[in-house]
Amino acid sequence: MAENDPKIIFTGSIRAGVKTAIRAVSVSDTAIKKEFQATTMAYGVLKLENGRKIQLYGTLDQEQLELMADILSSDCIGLALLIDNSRENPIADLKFFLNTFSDFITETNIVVGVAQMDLTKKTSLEDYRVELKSMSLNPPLFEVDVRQKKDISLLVQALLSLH
Amino acid sequence: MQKVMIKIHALGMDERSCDTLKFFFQKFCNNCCEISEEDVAEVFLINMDSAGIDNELLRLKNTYPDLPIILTSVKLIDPDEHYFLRKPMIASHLITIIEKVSGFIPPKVSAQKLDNVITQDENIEASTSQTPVLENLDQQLNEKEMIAFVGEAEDVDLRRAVNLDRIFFNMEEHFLVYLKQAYQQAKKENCAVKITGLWKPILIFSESNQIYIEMSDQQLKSICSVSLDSSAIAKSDIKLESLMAPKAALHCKKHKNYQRLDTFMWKIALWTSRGRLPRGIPLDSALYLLGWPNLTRLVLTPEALRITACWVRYPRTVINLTEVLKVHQRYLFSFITASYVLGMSGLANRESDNLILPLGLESPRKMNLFSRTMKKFKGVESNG
Repeated sequence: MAENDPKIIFTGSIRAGVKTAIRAVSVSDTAIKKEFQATTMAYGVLKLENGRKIQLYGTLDQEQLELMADILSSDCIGLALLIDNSRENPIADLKFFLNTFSDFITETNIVVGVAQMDLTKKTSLEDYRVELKSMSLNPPLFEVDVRQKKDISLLVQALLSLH
Repeated sequence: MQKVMIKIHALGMDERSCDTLKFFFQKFCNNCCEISEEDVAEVFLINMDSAGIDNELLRLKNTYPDLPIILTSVKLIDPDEHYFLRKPMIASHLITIIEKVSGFIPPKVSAQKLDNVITQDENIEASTSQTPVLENLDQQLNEKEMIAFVGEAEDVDLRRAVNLDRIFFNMEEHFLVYLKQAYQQAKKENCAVKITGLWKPILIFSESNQIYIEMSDQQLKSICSVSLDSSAIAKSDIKLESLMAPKAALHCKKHKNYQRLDTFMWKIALWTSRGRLPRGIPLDSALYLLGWPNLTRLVLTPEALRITACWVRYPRTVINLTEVLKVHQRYLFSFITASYVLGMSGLANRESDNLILPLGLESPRKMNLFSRTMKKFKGVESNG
């Protein structure tokens, strides 16, 4: 992998499927997998049609990201935030991550994928939109099945379209 | 030549953080250092944000008085006789400290070599307007579907009145208007709405975002493609009836006939529009787009992402959107129609909505980051 390939950080609530999402769109690379076996971070590489690659980093842990400032500071396209809609208070989760990553979001961009919407409909996409707008954000906001390549691909493409 | 790696023992970090640190050393510090156990350490790295770490610091100073200590924290702290590395950690800062403490100079990655890699790796199209496309995006439409959804109409000069007739369709003459009305009625009255007068009844459950329909896509496409006046379906026969949702559900016998309501309405809007706008949509008044449609569950028409990304920021006129985006008008008009039918777009009436900011107005910091990234995508940077 080239260190200066553009990067996307995946993060989100517990069981939202950060690792699954990265796996869904990543090309297979055994060497990289080995490299990451030692860490609790998820990693993948996504290939664009033009042959370029995007590095995908996944973590649930702010501390990990703080330790890896170089990942965040160089060629990072933005943050893909995954929220598990079946959790007790997914809107609180959303707020938590938006606050935690507020500086990062200000500098780059964000897309929000809401998982498990088929399990519970008590919180709608509209509820998320209202919360995001209250924080002056209107990012791509999609329902996702993190196992589906097409859903995660679209999330990534939406992030790319924001440049 | 074998690299000599400085052995660093980290304190005040849990296993996850140590793993991350290990990765950070490998990938960003050119392997100039490695994590080690305390008894073989040459340098100590102490997380000062960890609880009770002061005692550990004291212990290390006493036990290993000759070994350098690097303190790290999110806050600025006085390192005293030690070294300080602010979190988030920057690799070059750590490398500088390592050089100081050990005299070890990590091999630099040759800029020339990197450039070569980029140049070889990139054969990027010069187009600056395209969003990079992922491989095998399953939602890409085949040609037949594309024509059904966005038509084949050629672009026209929107400033010449003579051209305008063919870019509009009369929504009042199509099934689409009844569908939109039924949807609005169901939302307003918080109930189910039954549409009769077509070949088969349709039931809308807005609260659960479902529609019950016994017609095939082929039949629906036929209904959408003609004005009702010229078909066997009489407009006067179409009726909307509000029902309590449980009662309405009794009419819905086959589970397979349920569809997502938003997906269905989007699809019907596209089949009806086929690259045209509903008559009455002004070309030179600002239209708003409320937010991003839930595109993972809707038919993804060409350029939908770019259209949304551009339009969602500020209200814009149709003419402005065509000029700024430079996409085929049929792609844009289909998208506008579908988002309008879902209630996500409309005429910007408020004065503030009419403020159309010029393209490219963005915070300089963000633009720098993205222009850098996207230039790299497109090979501009590697070509100087």
